[in-house]
Amino acid sequence: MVDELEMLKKDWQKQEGSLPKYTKEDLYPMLLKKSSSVVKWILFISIAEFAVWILLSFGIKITGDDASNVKTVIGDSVEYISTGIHLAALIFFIGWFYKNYKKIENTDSPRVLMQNILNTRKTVKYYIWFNLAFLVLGTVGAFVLIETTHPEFLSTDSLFLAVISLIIMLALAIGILLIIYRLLYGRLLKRLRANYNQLKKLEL
Amino acid sequence: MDKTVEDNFVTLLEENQNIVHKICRLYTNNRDQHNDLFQEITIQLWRAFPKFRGDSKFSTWMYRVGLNTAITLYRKSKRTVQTQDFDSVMFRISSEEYDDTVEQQLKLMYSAVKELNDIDKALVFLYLEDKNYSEISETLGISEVNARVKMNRVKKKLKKILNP
Repeated sequence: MVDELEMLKKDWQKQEGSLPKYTKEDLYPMLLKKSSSVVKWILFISIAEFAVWILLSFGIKITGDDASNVKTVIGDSVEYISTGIHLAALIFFIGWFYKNYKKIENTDSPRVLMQNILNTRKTVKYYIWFNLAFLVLGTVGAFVLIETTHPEFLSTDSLFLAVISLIIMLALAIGILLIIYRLLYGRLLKRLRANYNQLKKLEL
Repeated sequence: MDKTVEDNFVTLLEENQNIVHKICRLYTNNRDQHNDLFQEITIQLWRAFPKFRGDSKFSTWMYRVGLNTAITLYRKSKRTVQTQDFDSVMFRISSEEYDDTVEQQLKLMYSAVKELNDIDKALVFLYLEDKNYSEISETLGISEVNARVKMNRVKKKLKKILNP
């Protein structure tokens, strides 16, 4: 039986004449165009994500009577420590992100390239998880602190309400994040992930 | 950027552009996407060019960057319907040299190759480009044994399509 693929190979190699031909004049302007690769999209989205969380962590401060009450109770030092941890985490995550981003080389093997892209994207994901965890731990910590040092500030009712609203807020935040992620990264990385899994299978 | 480097790159790209066009033909479904992917591969090649040391052939290096772009980096700007215009989009089928059956078989083969997943397509592409398994494994970063095993599976798959 004729090897079909050999037959295809013969035909494949005859297609040269039918291929488009670009001249140097066509090619020069192409060098000036901007890339629209997945990596570029990931970079833009990641910067936006960092910006949103920086705003949420540092930009929004509670104001008004409640804020001064909270401050009186938990004290300035706790706020300084919290800001310090946030700042340290931000520097760490941005540094890590940059390191991973710089590792992305289009001359690497496809699998290494895909792995590096996924790692870069994961860095931002970890930053977001850190923020959510910090939000939960910070709020719980603040309640515990207030409860132990100034129990008069929290009645049983307000504690219950606070816990419920915290859970609802978190559920909403995680829900919204998951939807955004599914839409954004789901579409952006679907093909990449599928190909990465295919390549991984090849190495088994 | 140094003008000589730019000239040098464009000359090399012009000489070897067929490789990029063939990758585009395999991974896209219409002329717009073809041009789009060609553009993206050109940008990626140009970006990586400072690291091209000349220890491998320019064409070999192009296969790696070109396939990486098609498989991983390229983001289709528009979604296209799967139905393809065979005559304008698919490959040229020489009707003079083949009888109808062969032509029919080739059409079936091409359309079967187009249906393969991105990785299998890359494997078949390098095979059709007459690359040996060592070159295929190097370009795709998989072992030679795995490249052979996978290629055999793809061959069987294609055979089955032709002889159901």
